Amino acid sequence: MTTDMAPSHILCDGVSPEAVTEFASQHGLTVLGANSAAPMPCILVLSDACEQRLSSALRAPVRACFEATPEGHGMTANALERMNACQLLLSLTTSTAYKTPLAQFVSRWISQSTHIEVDLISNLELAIQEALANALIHGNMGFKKTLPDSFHGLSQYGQDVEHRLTDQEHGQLRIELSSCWDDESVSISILDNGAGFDITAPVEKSVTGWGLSLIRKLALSVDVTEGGRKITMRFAR
Amino acid sequence: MEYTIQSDSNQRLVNLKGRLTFTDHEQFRKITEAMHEPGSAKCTLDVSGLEFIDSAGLGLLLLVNEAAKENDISVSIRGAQDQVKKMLEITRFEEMIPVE
Repeated sequence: MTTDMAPSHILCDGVSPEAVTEFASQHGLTVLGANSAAPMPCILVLSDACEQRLSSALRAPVRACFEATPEGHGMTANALERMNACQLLLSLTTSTAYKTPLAQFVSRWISQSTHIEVDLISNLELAIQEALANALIHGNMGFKKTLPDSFHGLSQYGQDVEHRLTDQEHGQLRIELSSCWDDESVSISILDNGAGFDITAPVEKSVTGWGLSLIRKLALSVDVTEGGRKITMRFAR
Repeated sequence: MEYTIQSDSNQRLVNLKGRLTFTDHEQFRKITEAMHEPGSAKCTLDVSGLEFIDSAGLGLLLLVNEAAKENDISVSIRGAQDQVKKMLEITRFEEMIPVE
C-alpha cells in the first residue's frame, strides 16, 4: 500500500515543546509552538489523554497521536518507523485505551481521512472493537478470558480489572493502532505488548471467545504476527 | 452504557442505553444482582437505546440470562436497532436468548 508524505512536524498539547526537542532533532522533525495550528500532516503528543481530549484530537490533519505520560512523551524510533509505513497511528497506554471508546474514534478518524462507505465504517468499528478487546484484555492485561464464565465471577473480575489498570506492569503498557489504505482496501493493525497468543489453539466459545471469528466474517484477510501480539485486518472498500 | 430497571409484579424491564462493550461488567454485576430481588418471573431487556454492542456485550447479556435462570426468571430481548440488530443476527443470538 502507498502512503502519503510522512508527517514532519510535532504539535504538543499539554506537553512542553522542550520535552520533545531532543527526540525531534534526532529524527529530523520540527517542533511547533504551543499555540500553533496543526499543519498537514502532523504528529500530536497529548498529555492527560481521556475520552474528551481524544475525541477532539483524533481528527485530520493529525496523522499520528502519542499519549504522553509522566514517564515521557511516548514516541519511539520503532513507532516512528511504523508511522512512516502507514497513514494513521495511535499509541496509548492500556489504562487510557480501556476507558475510551477508541473503536468509534478511530473508525471516524479513518473515515475523515479517506472517504469510505457508511457500511464499511460500521464494519471497521466492530472489527477494531473486537481486536482492541483482545489486545487489551488478553494481551496487555494478561487475562485468559474477556469475561468470567459465570455471573458469580463478575465482582472478582471487576476488582482484578481495576487492579491491573492501575498497576505499572499492565496499565502502563502501550497499545498501538495503525491504518493504511489504497483504492481497493483499508488495513488496520493493532499491536500490544503482552505475552502473545497461539493463533492455532482452539478457542472455546461460551460467554466469550467470539471476537476473532467475528473479525474473520467482516474482513477480507486477517493476519496475526509477532507471536500473537499483532493483528492486521484488511477490508475491501 | 447506562441502564435503568423498572420492576413490578408483571415484569422486570431493563432498559440499556449507549454503547455496550467489554468495559461494562460493573453495570452488569448490578443488573445480575437485581435478578435475585423479588418480582416478576419475566424479564425484558429493552435494547432500543443501544447504539453499539460488541461480542463481550453479548456475553454480558448471557450472564444476565444465567442469573435470571437461577431465579426461575425467563429473559427476552426487544427493540434492537441497526448495528445491534445485525450483531444479534450474525451470532444467531436468538438461539441463546429469545428476541421479540
